[in-house]
Amino acid sequence: MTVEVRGLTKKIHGTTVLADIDMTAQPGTIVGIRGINGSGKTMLLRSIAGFIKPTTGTVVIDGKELWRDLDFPESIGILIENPAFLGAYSAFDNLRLLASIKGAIDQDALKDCTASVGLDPASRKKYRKFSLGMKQRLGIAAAIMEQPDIILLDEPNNALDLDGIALLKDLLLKEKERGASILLACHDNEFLQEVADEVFFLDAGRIVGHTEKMTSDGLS
Amino acid sequence: MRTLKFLALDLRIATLREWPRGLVTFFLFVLAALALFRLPSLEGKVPFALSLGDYLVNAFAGMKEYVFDPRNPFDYPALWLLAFLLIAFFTLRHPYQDLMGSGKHIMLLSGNRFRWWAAKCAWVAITVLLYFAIGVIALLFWVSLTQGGLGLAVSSQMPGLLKFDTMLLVQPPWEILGFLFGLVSMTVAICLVQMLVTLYVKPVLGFVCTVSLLFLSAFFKNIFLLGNYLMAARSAVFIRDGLSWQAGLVVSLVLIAAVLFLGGFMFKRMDILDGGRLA
Repeated sequence: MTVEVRGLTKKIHGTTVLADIDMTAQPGTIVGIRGINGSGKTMLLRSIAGFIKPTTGTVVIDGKELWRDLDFPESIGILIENPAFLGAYSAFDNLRLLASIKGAIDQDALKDCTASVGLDPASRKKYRKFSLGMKQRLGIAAAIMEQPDIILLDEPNNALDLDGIALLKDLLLKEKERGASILLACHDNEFLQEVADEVFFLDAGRIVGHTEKMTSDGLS
Repeated sequence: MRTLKFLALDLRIATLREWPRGLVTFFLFVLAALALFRLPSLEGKVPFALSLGDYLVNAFAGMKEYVFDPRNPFDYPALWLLAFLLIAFFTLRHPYQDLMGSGKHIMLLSGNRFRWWAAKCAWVAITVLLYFAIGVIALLFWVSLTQGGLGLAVSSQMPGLLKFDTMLLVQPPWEILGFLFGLVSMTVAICLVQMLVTLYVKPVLGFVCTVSLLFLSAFFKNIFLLGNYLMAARSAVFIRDGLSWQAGLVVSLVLIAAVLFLGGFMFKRMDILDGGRLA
């Protein structure tokens, strides 16, 4: 699915948090969004997810406009801010609960997904006892488990150790190969350079720069 | 279909897992029954066989209209207040916490905001119904223990015992089924309005609104202070010039529909900001 953000501006209580954002994420690409804390990265992802109504401008998903044709993108996985799950449930039970809404994946696929982020699907350890890294891994699993067409990840490498970051890179590249449109908000330049096809730089809610990755044949 | 799935999840997460609340409810109603059971002997009156109807009227008696007078201290209906604050508290946090946490993810997966909203409204209504059902079960348990009557008939001594305004008393028999029906419906409406405030502002403010409404309702007899419809002592079933339960039922149904549809319409257009708050 193609995500098109056109002239998106968002004001909250008179303060402009996003100003005239234009960007497109094509299927099979990773679009990075880089900026310091408070630059509007999370707000932008929230707008694309359908949680925030643009003051002006639109978010169009494969020709359908959010807030007019859709409440939320039809096939989407998100990790925005801190992952939030039920404290009394295990990793697998939390994922199973989420998966029960659509019923799109079976138990085996769910187990594979849990294992793919380095969590044990058989573990009964409750979410409330998870380390920050484990919580982040579960958040990533929830975002990708149904193989959505659009994946929005906000600082996905937060709290991950080196193994976790390597695993995240692998997962992102796999999802990209599968054809997902991935938007990745991150302040880690090195990480973005490694995985993103293009990067938008955000400052005070505005796009202040844009780079495209150099391909092997030298074209950008 | 997905609304039902949401509701099933809500019941699993916020009702089944919170089963101790059922025990608290059970003991509250048993305690209320015990208080009434001991009342006749405490006042030196001849005990009479108390029926389920008597215990229900006792639990939801409230107080007669308060007329301000320095010589007439305001005697707050603590049991009545506790009964309604408890259910307001039980329905307070889950919708907000759900929106802050996994519910946001679930709503996104469902692709529809209104389903989430409708499921939360249904959850509040079911929680209120369960609360009163547990209350009735507790009273039935007590009635069977004390060999009282299982019917809803209210003994003629009850209004006097509960300090109703006996000067304005309607002739018995008093049919309380309609009053109870209106009471349940009004409680659902108040808890739904509380949910609306909770989601748009903060849970604590939602609860403050409910507490204020109940306090003011005890002080003032007024058709706009909805707590009045929750008091047997001010109901037209017992008192001339009392509040009609039919009017209360209509008001509550209008409120329920308004929260469901207007609230849902607003919810569909609102931002879901950090921490789940709406703006």
